Amino acid sequence: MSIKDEIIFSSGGRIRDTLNLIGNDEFEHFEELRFRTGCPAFVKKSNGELFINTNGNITKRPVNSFVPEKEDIDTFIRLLSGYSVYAFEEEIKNGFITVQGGHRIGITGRTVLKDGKINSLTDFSGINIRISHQIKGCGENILPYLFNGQEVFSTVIISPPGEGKTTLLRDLIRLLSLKGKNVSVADERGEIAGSFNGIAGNDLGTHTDIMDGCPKNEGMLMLLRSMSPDVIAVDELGGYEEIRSVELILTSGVSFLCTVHGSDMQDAINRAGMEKSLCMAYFKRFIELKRSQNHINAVIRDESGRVIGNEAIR
Amino acid sequence: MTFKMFGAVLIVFSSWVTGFIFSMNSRYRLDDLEELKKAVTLFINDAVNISMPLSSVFEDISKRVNGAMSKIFYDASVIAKKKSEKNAEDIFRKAVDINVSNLYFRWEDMECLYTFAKNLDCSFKNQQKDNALLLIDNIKAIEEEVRQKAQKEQKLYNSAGVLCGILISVILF
Repeated sequence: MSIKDEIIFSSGGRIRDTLNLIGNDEFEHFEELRFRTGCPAFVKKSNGELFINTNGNITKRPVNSFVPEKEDIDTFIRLLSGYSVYAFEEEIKNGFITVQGGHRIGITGRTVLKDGKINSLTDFSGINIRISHQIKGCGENILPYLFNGQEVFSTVIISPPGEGKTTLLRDLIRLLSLKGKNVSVADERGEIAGSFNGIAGNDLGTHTDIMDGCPKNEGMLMLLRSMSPDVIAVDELGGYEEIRSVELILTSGVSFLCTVHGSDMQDAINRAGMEKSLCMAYFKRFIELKRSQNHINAVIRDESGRVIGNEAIR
Repeated sequence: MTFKMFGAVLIVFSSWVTGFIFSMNSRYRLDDLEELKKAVTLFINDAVNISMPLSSVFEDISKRVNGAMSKIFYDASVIAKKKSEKNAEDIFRKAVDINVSNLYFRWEDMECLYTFAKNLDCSFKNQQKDNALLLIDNIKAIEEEVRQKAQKEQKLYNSAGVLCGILISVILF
C-alpha cells in the first residue's frame, strides 16, 4: 500500500476527496498535512510549507486554497476512527490517533475535564497528519557504532520533533533484527511498526516482537518477562514510571534502544528525567540528529560525551 | 355424508390454521425483539469492552444473531466498510430501511432500533454502555408487554379460527 492509499483509506469526507486529487508521488515527499477549521490547508515538505488548493494542486500561494469547515474535520475524525470514536477514547485523550502505516493524526479541539484531568476531546477544530516514512537502510552507517563484538550497546537517539528519530529507530530495529538479535518493541503509539489489526505495516525484520498499543512502562516489562529479548526498543522515552522500568531492564542485562526529544545529549538526559551518572553507566551510545538543508547528520557520542562518529542519515 | 364431514373438518382445520398464523405475528415480533436485545448486549461487549471498530462490531453481531436482525447488522457492516456515510446513525438507518419489510416490528420497536442508531455516534464508552443498558431495559419492558398480549391473542385467534370454521361449515351444510 502506498502512503497515499494508507492516508486515503483512513480518511473521509471532503478532506479525503481533496487528498485523492493529489498525485501518488507527491505524498512520498510530504512530512505533514495540516487542516484547521476556516484556514487554508497546508502541506509541509522538506523545503517548506505549501498550500493545497481545491483541485489537489500544491501551490506556493494561497490561491483557491482548500479551506476545511468544522463539519469536514468532524467527518474526517469520525471516518478516521471507522465511525468508532469511542474505540479511540484513550488515544484522543492523548491528542492523536495512529493509523495504518504508522501515520500519526494529531487532533485539536475542546477538552472535557473530569476531576481536573483531561477526560476526552470534543468539538474538533484541527488535524495534523504526520506522514510516517520507512527509509530502509538509513541506519546502516550508524549500525557499526552500536556493536561491541556480539553485544549491542544501549543507545539513545536524540533530536527535536520531526527530525527523523522514529525513522532511524525503525531502521536500526530492522537491521538489528536481520543480524539475528531478538528485538522486542513496546509500540505504545503504533508509530514504529504501523500496525493495523495486529499486522505490522512496516518491515521491522525477522526477529522482532511487537507489543502494540500497550503503555511503554508496562509493555517493556511484559516483553522482558515473556520474550527473552536481546534488545528492547521504545519511541519517545520520558516520565517517571518509564524511567523506572528502563532501569530495571538495564540492570537485567538486556540492551535498550530508545528515542528522546532534545537538542543534545545533556538536554535529553534532563528531559528523560534520568540521573546522569546512571544514564552514563548503562547507555553507551548517544546519537544526536541535526538537520541541515536537505539532509540529516548523526553525531554519535560515547558515554563520556566524546564524539566518536559523524554520519549522514539521508 | 362422509364427503361433507371431511369437507367440514377441512374447513375448521384451515380456519384454525389461519387463526394460528395470525397469532404467530406476536411470537415473531417477540423473536425479533429477543434478537435485538441479544444484539445490543453483544454490542456492549464488542464495542465497549473490546473496543472493536464499528464495522467489525456489526459483522460480529450479524454472525451471532438470527433472522432479519442478522441481515440488518450484516448490511450495516458492508455500508460501514464503504465509508460512504457521514456518521454511524446514517449507516444503521440505511441498513434498517433495506430490511424493514422482513421485520415484525411495530412503531415502538422501530423506535428502539432508531434509538440504537442514534446512540452509535456517542464518543464516550461509558455513555455508550449506559445508553445500551437503558435500551435493553426498554426492550425488556416491551417484550413483557408483547408476551402478555401474545398469550391473549393466541387464545383469541385460535378460538376465533375454530369458531369461524364451524360457522362456515354449518352455513354450508
